[in-house]
Amino acid sequence: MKLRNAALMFAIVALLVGASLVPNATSRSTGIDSGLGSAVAANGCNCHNADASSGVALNLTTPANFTAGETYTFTITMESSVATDGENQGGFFLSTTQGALASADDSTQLIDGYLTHTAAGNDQRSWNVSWTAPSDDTRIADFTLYGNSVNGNGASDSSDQWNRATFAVPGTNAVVGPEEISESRKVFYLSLVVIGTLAAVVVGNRMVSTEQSVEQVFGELWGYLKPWLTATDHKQIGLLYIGTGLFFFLVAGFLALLMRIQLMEPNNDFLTNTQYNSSFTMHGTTMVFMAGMPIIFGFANYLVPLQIGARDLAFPRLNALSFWLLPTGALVVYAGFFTGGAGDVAWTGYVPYSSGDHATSPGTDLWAAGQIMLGASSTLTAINFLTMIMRMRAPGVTLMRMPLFTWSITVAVFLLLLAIPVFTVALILLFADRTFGSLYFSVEAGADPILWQHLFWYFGHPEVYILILPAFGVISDVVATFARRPIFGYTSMVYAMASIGLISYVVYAHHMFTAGTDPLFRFFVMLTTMLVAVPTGVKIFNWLATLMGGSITTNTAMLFSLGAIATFTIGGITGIVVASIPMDIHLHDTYFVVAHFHYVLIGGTLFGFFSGIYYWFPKVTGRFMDEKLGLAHFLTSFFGFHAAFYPMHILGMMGMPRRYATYDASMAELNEFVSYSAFFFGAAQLLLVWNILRSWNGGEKAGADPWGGWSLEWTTSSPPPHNSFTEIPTLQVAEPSVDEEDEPTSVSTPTTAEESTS
Amino acid sequence: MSLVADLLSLPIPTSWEPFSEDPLSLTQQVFYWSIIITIFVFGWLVYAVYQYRHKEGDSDPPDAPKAGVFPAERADHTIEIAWTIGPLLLVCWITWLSLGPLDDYWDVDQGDEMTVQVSGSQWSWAFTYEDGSTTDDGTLELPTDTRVKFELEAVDVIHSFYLPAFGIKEDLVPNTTTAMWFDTGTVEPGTYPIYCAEYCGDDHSKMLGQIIITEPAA
Repeated sequence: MKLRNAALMFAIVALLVGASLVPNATSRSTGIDSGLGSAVAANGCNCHNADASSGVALNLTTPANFTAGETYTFTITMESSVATDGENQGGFFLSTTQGALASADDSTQLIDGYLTHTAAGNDQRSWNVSWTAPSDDTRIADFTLYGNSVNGNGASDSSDQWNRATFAVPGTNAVVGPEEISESRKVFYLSLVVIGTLAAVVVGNRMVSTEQSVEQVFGELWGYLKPWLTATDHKQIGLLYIGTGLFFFLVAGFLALLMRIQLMEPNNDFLTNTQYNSSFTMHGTTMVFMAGMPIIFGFANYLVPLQIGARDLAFPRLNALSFWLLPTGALVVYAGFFTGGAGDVAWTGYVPYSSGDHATSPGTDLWAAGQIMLGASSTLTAINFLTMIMRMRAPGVTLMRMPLFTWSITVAVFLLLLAIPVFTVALILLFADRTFGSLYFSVEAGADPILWQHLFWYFGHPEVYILILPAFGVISDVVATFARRPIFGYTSMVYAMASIGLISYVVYAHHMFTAGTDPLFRFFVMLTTMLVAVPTGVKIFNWLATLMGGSITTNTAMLFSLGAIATFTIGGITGIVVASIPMDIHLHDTYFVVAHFHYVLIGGTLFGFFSGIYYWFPKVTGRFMDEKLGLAHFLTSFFGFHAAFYPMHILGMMGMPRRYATYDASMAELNEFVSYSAFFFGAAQLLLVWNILRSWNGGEKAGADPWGGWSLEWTTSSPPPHNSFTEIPTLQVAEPSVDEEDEPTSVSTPTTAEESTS
Repeated sequence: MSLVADLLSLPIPTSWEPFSEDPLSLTQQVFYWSIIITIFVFGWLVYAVYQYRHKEGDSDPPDAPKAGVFPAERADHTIEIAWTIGPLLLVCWITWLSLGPLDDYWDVDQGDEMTVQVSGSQWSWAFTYEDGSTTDDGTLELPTDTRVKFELEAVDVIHSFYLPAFGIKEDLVPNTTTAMWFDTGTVEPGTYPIYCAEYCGDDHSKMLGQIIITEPAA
């Protein structure tokens, strides 16, 4: 059964890889000009029809072998089922790896080394071409031919057909050997060899040092791996999520640094444009879906059941499925790198560029496919969490007595449940367009490209609140604990988060202020966007008020939370700036926006969860993290971050558009400064990795409640036992303190709550 | 400019000038309130962390959190309502200020002296003037002191016609004609860049052009 499932999964992945390898090509009425030649040779291009058609038979009359230096005349013939009226019947593109092609008559022309038809040669389906063989007859000449038969109506439509064929002509002394291996395959094989060698060394070392047989070593390894691979316990799944999230955080950070090398100077050639485009696409997609959300839901998995006194999530096996869809989905998205270029449509994937009419990297299919899997994973997670939070709270944990982190997750999963299926459906439509030739987003068929933007941002804007709200939750818990006082305005904090969640659905069109939507709609959205600042402001003021009268310890966890409050405040203010349409008309799609959302997502979300890592590490491992390293990590991260991202505001005001692989020379100094700062910020994260690895087994021992937090996770041991609680706890309620007059909570016994069903 | 001067600069595009001069105008208000709020939040944060820092031998406040006990609610409704209403008024005020310039930006029919058709395709700009003449080398020549309306059409994918020095942009959307307008009298005659601001594929960052504002023939 399990084997069958695995085989099925493998077959699906293989199909997806196969589907993405289909090349695309076209011909144009006056030949393929030099601007398009390299694109056709690399990926194809597709004005006429997205996919190759087997109805087109291409032939090239080549000799069996060539003689060095001799000139041959070949005839290209194309037979096709496409009817023709005698004009504009077809075109071709012919390139070779050896020798020199030449035009034999006025029906063909030579551009940048390849041959294509001329305007005169556009009315036929057979051409004569000339080829001079190289002087070395030990070589093999490979010819690549694209032929396009069109119906002659002058328009690009789906009844046009094209195909691709290759021909090899060895020299008389050539040794016909195995095919050349492509660069990406070489990298893939090399990494397999390296991993295999390392594995052999590790296993061998283990065999020698412990004097075990191979079977015993593998048995031991399996004994270690199996509990993780088959885990359904929320704590193990949580750790898997966080580990995966941190791994992808480093991967996507690495991609960001590649981009910063490219932007170190204007007109740099470190990356090609296609590579640069793939880098920012994968950076964005990875940070949101494979780093941000997994880290958040890792924390949620580990902590929410503990905070509400449940033994596990509502559906633990479903939870395991949710998790395993993540690495597999990520693998599918990243497989794009081995198919000739990962997705290059930006994380927003705007149609019609992404929908297949205009050559994108082949990996875009995998980008869409993988994200459909990630969408399914998130939807299942949302259902699981909502069920648990609504039905499985321990006695005493009423909704209005849940810790704020749990509340933030509650709001976030509500948003997730309503938002992410919309994106998943949009991706399915996109995937259908690209793969099966449907026309949901086809401009030629009359589709409105703005539809995608509505679908995407209807999801995309709640998504950013899904990313930030849980960080608010972490900050609330951490600030209260280290100020040694209850959070100020617990009730208003809950209402603030809920209203941020509600408003998030009616603000999304602020991403489309320059896209020509209805002016009244734009005005309405500007107003609602501004309103987000109100509950957000309430949260910031409540945090600050919480500090008053406290006894504040500024350790690493607290510093990251305070740093997040400070940075997020700036990100919130720039949010108001871009919400104001007159200013957004200039700033939209510039680096100002890049700076704004990095202030929110790094300064808010990431710093918030760094704080969470230092805060809950003792609960997970029973050990403290190293405070000295932690302080160094905070200082380098905080100042590195501001040095890297503050100048982007100015670059944006100067008018540097985002997703540009180069820029005007007047922006060189700032960009160089940003690049160096980004490297500094990136390197600083290694301190966190080192601190986690080192403190996992070697940190100072911590007790059950090392910080003096109140929520239920601190009532169980560190690390918690397998079933989380030896006995389901009951949340007590404190007597109201004498100096507060509001809300007298009269009893210290719990009010009734739903029975825990675990 | 040196790096430090760059870091301290706040470059403002031409089209912001009408709402940037008066202290009660949009950008000035946003700027001042940003500074005020930042100083307020940072000041409060630093003050609270310093004033209420934990000192050796301090005992916990009486309502300090205890494991397994929901803390007594700490709240002051007056002040909470105050800092809900305050920001609400502020953002309504900023929204109100933002509305004024929109009449100007969105009323594209003000570009009544000249119409230019702008066509964006992967990865170049083409312009058609009123007399029917077309350029496709990405250079647009406009006389100074003219109110120009740009009619924008995309040939293949979405692009965005962005004049960074003037601070205006509008997307080119296939199957739709969008428009924006600009008064060339508001800038000095000279050469200014044109960018594509909506990601459109491989050579997006090279989809550049230039706009030349010419002196009137004397």
